Amino acid sequence: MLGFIGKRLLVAIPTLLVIITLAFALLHAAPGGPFDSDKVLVPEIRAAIEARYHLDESVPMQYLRYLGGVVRGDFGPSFQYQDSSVNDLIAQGLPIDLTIGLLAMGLALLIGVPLGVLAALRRNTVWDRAASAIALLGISVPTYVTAPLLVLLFAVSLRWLPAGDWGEGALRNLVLPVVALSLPYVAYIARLLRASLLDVLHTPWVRTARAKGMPWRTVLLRHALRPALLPLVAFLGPATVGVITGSIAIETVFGLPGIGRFFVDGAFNRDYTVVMGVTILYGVLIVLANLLADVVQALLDPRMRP
Amino acid sequence: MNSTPPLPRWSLLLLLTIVVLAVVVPWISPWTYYTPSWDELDLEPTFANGHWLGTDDLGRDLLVRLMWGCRISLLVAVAASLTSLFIGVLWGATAGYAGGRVDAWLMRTVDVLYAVPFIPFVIVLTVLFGRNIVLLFVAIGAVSWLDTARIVRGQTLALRQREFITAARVGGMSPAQIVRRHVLPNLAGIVAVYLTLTIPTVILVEAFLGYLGLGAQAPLTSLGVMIADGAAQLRSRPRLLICPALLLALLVLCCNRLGDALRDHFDPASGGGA
Amino acid sequence: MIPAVRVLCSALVLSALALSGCSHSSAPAALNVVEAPGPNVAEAHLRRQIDQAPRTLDPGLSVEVPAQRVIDDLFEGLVRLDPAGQLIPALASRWEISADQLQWTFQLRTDARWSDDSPITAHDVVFAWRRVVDPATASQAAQMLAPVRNALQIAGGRLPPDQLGVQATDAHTVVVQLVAPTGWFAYQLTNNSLYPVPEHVVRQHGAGWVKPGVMVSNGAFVLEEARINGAIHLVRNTRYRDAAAVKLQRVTYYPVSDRAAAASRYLAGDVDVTDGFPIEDIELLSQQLGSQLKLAPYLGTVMFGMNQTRPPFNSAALRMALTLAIDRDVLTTKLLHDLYLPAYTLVPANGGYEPPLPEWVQWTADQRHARARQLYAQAGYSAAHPLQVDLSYPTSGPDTRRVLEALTAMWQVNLGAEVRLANEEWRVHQQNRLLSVHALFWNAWIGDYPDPQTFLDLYRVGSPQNHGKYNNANYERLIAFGSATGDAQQRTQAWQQAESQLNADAAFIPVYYYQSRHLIRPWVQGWQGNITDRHLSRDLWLSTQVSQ
Repeated sequence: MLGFIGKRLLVAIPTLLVIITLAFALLHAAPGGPFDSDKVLVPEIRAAIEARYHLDESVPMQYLRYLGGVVRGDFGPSFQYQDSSVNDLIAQGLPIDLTIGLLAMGLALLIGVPLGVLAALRRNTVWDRAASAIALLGISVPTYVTAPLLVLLFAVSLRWLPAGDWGEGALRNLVLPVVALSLPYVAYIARLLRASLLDVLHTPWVRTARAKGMPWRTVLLRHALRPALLPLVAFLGPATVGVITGSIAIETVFGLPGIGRFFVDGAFNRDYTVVMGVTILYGVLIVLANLLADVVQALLDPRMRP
Repeated sequence: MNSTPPLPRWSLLLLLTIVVLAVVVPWISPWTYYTPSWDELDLEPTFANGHWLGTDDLGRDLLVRLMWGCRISLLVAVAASLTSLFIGVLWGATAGYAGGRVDAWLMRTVDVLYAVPFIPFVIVLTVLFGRNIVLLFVAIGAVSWLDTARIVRGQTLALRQREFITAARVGGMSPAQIVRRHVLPNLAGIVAVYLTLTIPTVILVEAFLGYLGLGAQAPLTSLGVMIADGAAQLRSRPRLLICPALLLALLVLCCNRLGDALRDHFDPASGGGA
Repeated sequence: MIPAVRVLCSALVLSALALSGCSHSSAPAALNVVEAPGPNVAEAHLRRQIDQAPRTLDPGLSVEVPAQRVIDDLFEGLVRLDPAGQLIPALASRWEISADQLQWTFQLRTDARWSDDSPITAHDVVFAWRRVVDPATASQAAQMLAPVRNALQIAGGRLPPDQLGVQATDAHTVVVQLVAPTGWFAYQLTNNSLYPVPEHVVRQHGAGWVKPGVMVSNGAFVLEEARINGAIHLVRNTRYRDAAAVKLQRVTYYPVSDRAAAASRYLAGDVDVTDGFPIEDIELLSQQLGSQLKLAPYLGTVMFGMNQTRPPFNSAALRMALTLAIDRDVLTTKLLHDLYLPAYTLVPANGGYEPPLPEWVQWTADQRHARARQLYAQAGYSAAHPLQVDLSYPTSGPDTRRVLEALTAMWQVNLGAEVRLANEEWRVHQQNRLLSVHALFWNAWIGDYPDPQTFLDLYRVGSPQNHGKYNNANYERLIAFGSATGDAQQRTQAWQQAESQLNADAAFIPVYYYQSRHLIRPWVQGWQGNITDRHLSRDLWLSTQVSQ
């Protein structure tokens, strides 16, 4: 196992390098630059700005310069937010997204797992249909609709909760974003769990256990749940990373200064360093999360050692 | 005791009705989806004026626009989902079954593609290839197959050690035959479910791609775009949000029910009830 | 066996549809708007929403409107705008203009101090201006100093910064040399890039001088706390030269880029002033909020540009046909609910300038359409051979898209022209526009200062913004004359004649003029609409004595 993890971590470095190179190339291939505006800059001023940010160098030169910075842990200055560096932006946004993301994932698991189990055990009955329908509401209504709806109901009409703002992480400000963010994941978790649980419930060893008279709860916990969680774990790896690196819809509706906004704004405004910085962060997290998911899968089911 | 799995009659009926309406309504309706009518702004739905779902803020009949949007969304959903299904299943099954170096290369590629930023990727695509409807499917398919691949690989890894696979291998079947004959059918359950989950995502990604210049060009619309616009008018014109959102929800419910039925069909051993 | 849940779902669907139909008329009543002032009023704490997080709080670097709001509260320049939008002395107590209008001499107040109690001197002004044009600073705002002698040469690196046409002849006197008589230079001084910065702090801390706790400012407020993309907290500056007149204790800025979310915050009672609200909600909000909804003319025009160097728009008849075929009044009243004003010329009316209206403004819609069809046929198009062209626009919100859908439908109905919409991602659109790739494109222009020249420069031959490549010798002559003359009356005449030339040539298709829109709580006092939409917090205060 340790050898397996070690090998994967070693492979992670060239993987990251490929990610950085591809992302850099794509960003610079897209037309337009960070200092384009409707009020066209006088050529002298544009030249001075580009020289200062090394945008006048050839793309390979800029790439090498950027890599050199990354190795030193310096992700460069932000072109949009001229007072801050990319490190500043990520340091500010990451805790916010982490908090909301992990809480939302936890809530989604808390609701989704029981719904999925219920649907599988009471298959093709009213309970199954109801549980599935509830779960599916989460993805059939997009986040940029559920979030304003929640705001309208709880903040504007009922006045129970604030309509937005991070508010230094106060609990009241967390409730609506966490709930809105968790809804789509409830659907994925419940439905995936239902399908894989159904697969497991009809395998010979579960049937034998039931035939032997083992109660449902023990069958579930000891035999069924572990293998049933496998596809779920495979999904949760990248899903958690996606949730941690920020949901643009949630951040926009609730006005949260997280990484998602920086990333999307950066892509549209050609803020190369910010997009690269978040991409690298995302790449590292994905590699780690997929590795973790594979390890957990192997632990859950020894036959799955690749 | 094994009974044949129940046919999802209501879901099939509902889905067929929606598809038929989407095809027929634009033909027979007296209104177009693009001509504003300045005297008929924001009408409520009545049978009297013939606008069964009312009009939007440009005076266009909502039902016609909804059905046009449904056409586009269904087209996109089917094409993109099939694309991602095809690529994702093949990729994941190969990686999971072959194992070792092949698995490592394939899955690290998946890692890389996860991390590559989507927006610049699409922008570069539009610059290189122009505004092409095929490009829309490529762009959407390019991201949605990744999750499928990972899940399929997970399932394949678990299946690989099962007895019937070992038996087939001993019996002399080639790996490709094994994958096709034994692995894929057993994946069908989870894949069918995941596919139905990706349909609403695909529809909403299409709306986002409209932002980048791809997809249905205004005044043509899609369900995703109508929902996005409706969300902005949530307070003043809730009907413009409720109608497309409900339609999408119904589509999703039907597709998922059908996915469950597909799953049951492919795995008759478990189709008989707990 | 009927799946009960499915039937239940269908029932829910139908009832929801029915309810949404019935409830539409009663939806406004369900809004439950906050009526009473919150605790922030007693604390004299004003909460404002802005459309975008400030990219930087450095006055010498910032070029955007939302950032300018915050910077206006933190810093003060030589002159400032009063609530009605009139120029009044600020840091400068008075100024003189030389006879040739090329030299301006400012006398600074002697009692002005920075927030760390050090005196503000003329050297701070000179230092700030030199810093802005210095290529080492790489400030996009350097263009704002273009009227000052040598500014552009310094920005291009051909001269050292100390050659800039501004000197401190003594501790409280600033002398500025201009390139040419510039009547609007006084307004330019209200741009944040011409504010003084504390030389001692900038030299000591470099780029980090704008961080909270380090920043030293001379405005009505100082920076207490700021999160990038998050809330910005300002507190009253006790060292401000006019601190006695400032009635607020704290100001907080909340960047909320989604207009609907901004309106939600307002309705929930979280902010007192917003910089916008969704166009779609204007009827509902004005019903519900009445006079809290404030509209004022704004210095901006939305128009369509056309590439006039090649077919189809090298034909003046076609350009005029498209201009005449749009029903601007229908658009602004029916679709936009009077949020914006119909535009017939390039420059909106402002500060005493009346744009020359073309004669067809007086015609009836039918007359206009008839003439449009005539011109359309003259350009060689007909029902059998309609105009087919793409209208390019940058993706923004659904409101722009709806306007364009309405306009293309008008061209279809009134002329038979097939104009297809083609949206592009913003930067892609900018690049293509710069390269004059588009035949027909959406173009909006917001004036930098309340003088027609900021608009008329758009269509000069050398202007980088002249994407349609408009080229008219008479127009060039008039612009050159107007920029050089010192006589105000002659200048206004020149501008009006230039605009008439643009109208006659149909150089562009005017659509509407912007208006600024705000939601303001009744307990916020001191707000006045003005054309530059500048509202300094130092002129506002909170009071529970609500004036009608």
